[in-house]
Amino acid sequence: MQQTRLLRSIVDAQSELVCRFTSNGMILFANNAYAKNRGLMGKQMEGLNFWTFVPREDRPSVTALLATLTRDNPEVTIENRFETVGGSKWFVWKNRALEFDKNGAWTVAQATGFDITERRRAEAWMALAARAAGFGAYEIDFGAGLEAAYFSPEFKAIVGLPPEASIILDAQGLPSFIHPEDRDSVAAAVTAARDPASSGAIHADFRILHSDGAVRWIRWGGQVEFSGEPPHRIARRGFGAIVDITDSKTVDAQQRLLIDELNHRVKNTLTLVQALARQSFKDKAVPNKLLSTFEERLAALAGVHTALTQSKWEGATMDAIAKQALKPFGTVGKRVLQSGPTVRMTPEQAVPIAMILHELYTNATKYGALSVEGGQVELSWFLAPPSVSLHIEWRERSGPRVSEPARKGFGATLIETSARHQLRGDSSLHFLPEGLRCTIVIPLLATDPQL
Amino acid sequence: MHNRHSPTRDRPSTLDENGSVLSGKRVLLVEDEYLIAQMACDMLEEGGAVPVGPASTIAHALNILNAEGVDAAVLDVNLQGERSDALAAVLQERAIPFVIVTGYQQSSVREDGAHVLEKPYTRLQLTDALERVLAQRDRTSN
Repeated sequence: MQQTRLLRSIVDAQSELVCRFTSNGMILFANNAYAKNRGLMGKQMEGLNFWTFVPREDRPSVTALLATLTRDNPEVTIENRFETVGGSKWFVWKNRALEFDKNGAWTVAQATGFDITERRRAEAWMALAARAAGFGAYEIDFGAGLEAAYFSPEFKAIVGLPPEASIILDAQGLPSFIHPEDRDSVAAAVTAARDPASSGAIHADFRILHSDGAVRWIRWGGQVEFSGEPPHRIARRGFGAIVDITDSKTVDAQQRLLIDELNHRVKNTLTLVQALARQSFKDKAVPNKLLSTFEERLAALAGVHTALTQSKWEGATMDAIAKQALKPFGTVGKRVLQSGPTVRMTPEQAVPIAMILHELYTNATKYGALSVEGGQVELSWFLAPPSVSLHIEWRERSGPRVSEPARKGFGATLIETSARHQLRGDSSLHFLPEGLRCTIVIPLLATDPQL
Repeated sequence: MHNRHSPTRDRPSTLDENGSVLSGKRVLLVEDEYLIAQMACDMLEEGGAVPVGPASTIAHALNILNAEGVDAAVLDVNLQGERSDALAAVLQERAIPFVIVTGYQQSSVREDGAHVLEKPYTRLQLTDALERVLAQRDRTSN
């Protein structure tokens, strides 16, 4: 009795649950932490049967594990649910057999338990997320070696292994499933991430080989944890996830190929149009200058297709369009100042903008600021109000004195009609004496066909 | 490096009476699209060069190369589904400068150092590119 009181005074102060019970489940002793979960005091637990607090579905596994307790092997750890007044909770129990009968079967055991409900919930979530997103997780303790490493069932499935298989590392310290051609890059990524001076982050795409010879693309995101301070900082643990990205890689490659082929055909067709024009107007008293103007317009059209191809036809930035438009004009480009924020234009917007810029550059090199030494062009763009409309400003200075032309040329017509009809915006051309000024305002939202 | 096929090799590559290094240069044209080949020939003539060919296959181009000397070449990357890399290698071996034209996305200088011109190109772009590779060849061989 005295002993029990002493025990109680010690274990009641503990936060973990303590329960001593007989082999048929009768509670001999429980501390307050245990009793609280049943809404009682420790003393009130005595004589109750702990099996009534174990949910029916967990009883077979707990029974089986408790049956393993012997004199030689008196301890077993069991995870099972515990019905508390606050609902069912997950606990990990360290069970130790204390007394045995003359046949060696245990008669009294004591369980010490910790609430692991949060951990179990996190694990369940993780498993759910892993199944839903198809990622495989791993955790490696570098000190403990690979036997202690954890690879989730999804991880093994991704690398083509059954759940019970173990991951084997080769002489290079890499799993054998990594594709021979990608081993060096993966090894380099691992070395870099384990460098104590690094952030420890790993991001790599690589191929793996399944045992049936199938090649799959894997995206790997990982993190190495370090301990200690430099110079004694060491890589302690690595964890992360892999995901199979073969399908998107294949689609990417096919799309790339198709776009390249399409671009090739577009350019070939434009070249044919150019050849046809030359043949048609040959010896027909069409001045060479006119033919070149036409050829340059075709080149501008081809150029913007190049810019769009580079972005897989997802649009092109204003910067890329402006740079491409300037390309055919060679060294005078040094006298052009282009500036503006990164604005992505849709393919429908990119083509007319490129054609407008081409006309402005052509005019400037023939008659405007770029036709004389020292003349300058300033091309700037900005969003106002942000992401509602794009303003493009073209300003020439230090060129020949400008006067309003008597007749509206093709260039001016193209600028006006493209801005209004294709870009659904507005344009204004001012033939100021100090240089041509052109303003184009393009509504960005209105071009969305959904609106 | 020397080029026994080059008839104008001995003449210094400076501006001549027509104001162009291209003047009188024999330029082999390798292009399988007839209309485009015709246009490129016109452009070369307008630039003062003497177009040779056009050849529409690699075999045809090799025949021309072996039969008569040329100073430079313009070749399409794709000839009826066949890539012209083998021809580019022969030209490189014989130190004949060349310009590659293509409708495919390419950077302006290839890994093998060849100059690339994207289709469609203007006459000026073609003649400029040829003058550049001719000048480069002369710098390296002098």
